[in-house]
Amino acid sequence: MSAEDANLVRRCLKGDESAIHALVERFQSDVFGLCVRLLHHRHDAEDVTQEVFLRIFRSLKRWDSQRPLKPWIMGITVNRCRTWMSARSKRPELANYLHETAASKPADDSTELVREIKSAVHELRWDYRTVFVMFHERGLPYEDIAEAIDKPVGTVKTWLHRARLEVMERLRQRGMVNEFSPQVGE
Amino acid sequence: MNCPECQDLLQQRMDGEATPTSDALERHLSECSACRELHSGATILLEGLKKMPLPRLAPDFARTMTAEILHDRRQRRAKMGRRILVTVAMAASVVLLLLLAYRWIPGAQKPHAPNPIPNPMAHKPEPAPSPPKQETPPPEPKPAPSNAFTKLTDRLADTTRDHAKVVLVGTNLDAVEKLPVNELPMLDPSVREAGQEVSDGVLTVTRTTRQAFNFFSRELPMPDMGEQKH
Repeated sequence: MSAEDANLVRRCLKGDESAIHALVERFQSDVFGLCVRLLHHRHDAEDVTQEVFLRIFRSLKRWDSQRPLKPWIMGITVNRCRTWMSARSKRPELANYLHETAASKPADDSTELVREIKSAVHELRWDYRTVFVMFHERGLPYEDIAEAIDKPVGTVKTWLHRARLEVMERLRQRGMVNEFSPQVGE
Repeated sequence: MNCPECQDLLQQRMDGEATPTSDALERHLSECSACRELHSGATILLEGLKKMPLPRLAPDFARTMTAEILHDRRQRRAKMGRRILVTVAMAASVVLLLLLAYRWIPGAQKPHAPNPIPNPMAHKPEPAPSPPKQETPPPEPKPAPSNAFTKLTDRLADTTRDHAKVVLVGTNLDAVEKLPVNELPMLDPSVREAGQEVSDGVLTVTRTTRQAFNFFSRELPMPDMGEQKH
C-alpha cells in the first residue's frame, strides 16, 4: 500500500491529472466524513474539505514516503477543522449554524438512535470527538489515529475509552438504553 | 469476574476484538446492574454506529476538485515566477544605482594611488627620522575634498591603512617592540593615545606569553620530531 501511495504521490507531484483525480477520489469520503462529524455542519464541511485537498497538494512534497499516507491526510484534516472551529467561534453571527443543524433533521437520519448518537458525539470535547469519529466511523486503527493527531497510542486509547463512556452515558440519560440482558460477545 | 475485568472485556468488544462468552461474565452481568447497563449501552451504541449513514459529497466533487487543484498549481507557479522576476529586477536596479552613484558622485573617480602597506615581516621598515613630538609642525593641509562624503571615505581609508601596519607588525611577537608607532602619520591625539594604550597592553601580553613558552620549553620534555620521523 505504501509503495502504491508513493507512486500515486509521485505522479501527482508531476502534475498528472488522472493521479490527482485518483487521490482525491480515494480520500474524499474519509476527509469529508471527518469534517462533517467534527464541524457538525455540512456546508462548512464541504468548504473545509476543499481547503484540505488544496493544502494536501500544496504540501505533498513534504510527505514522508516511509509513512502511511492516510494518517497524514487525516492529520491535515483535523488541523484544518480545528482552525475552522476556532475561527467560527470568533464569529458570533455563525453561532446559529450549530443550533440550526442540531435542531433540523438531516435527510439521511434514519432513526432516532442515530440522531442521538450524532448529538452525543457532537457534545464530546474536541480530542475525544476526533478519536471517536476516526475509530468508529472512519475505521482507523489506534496507531494511525496516534500518528494523525500526533499523540501516543496510550493517550488515544484513554480518550476513546472516555469518549465511549460519555456517549453511552448520554444515551442512557436520553432513555435510549433499556436495561436488558445483552447478548454478550456479539 | 469483577467490574474492572468486565469493563475491560467491554472495551475489547467495542474495539472489534472477538471476546469469548463466558459463564463468569454472564454471571457477573446478572448480578451487577452497573455493568449490565454499560453492556447494554455498548450494544446499542454499536448498533447505532452501524446504521450511521456516511456523509456523501457531490458526485462530481473529485472532478471539480482536480480542476481546482490544477488551477491552484498553475497560479502558484505563476506567482513564484513573478516573485523570482521581481527579485532579479530589484537586484539589477540596486547594481545599476550603485554604478550610477559611482559615476556621478563628484570625487568618486579621483585617481588615488594605492599606498602599499609595508610588510614588516619581510623587511624592517627604514627608520624614519622621527620628528619631536611637541615640535612637530602641523601637517600641510591636504587639498580640500570635494565634498563631505569624499572627505570621510579618504579619512577612513588612511586610518585603516595606518592601523594595518600595526596589525601586521603585531603578528610577529618578536618584533612587537618595534611597532612603528612613531612612523604613523599624525592622528588625532585621542586616537593616538588610545593606540598607545592598546600597544602597551599587547606588549605586556606578548612578554608574558613568551615567558610562558620559554618556561614550558625548558621544563617539559619536548618530543624529538627528528627521531620520530626515522
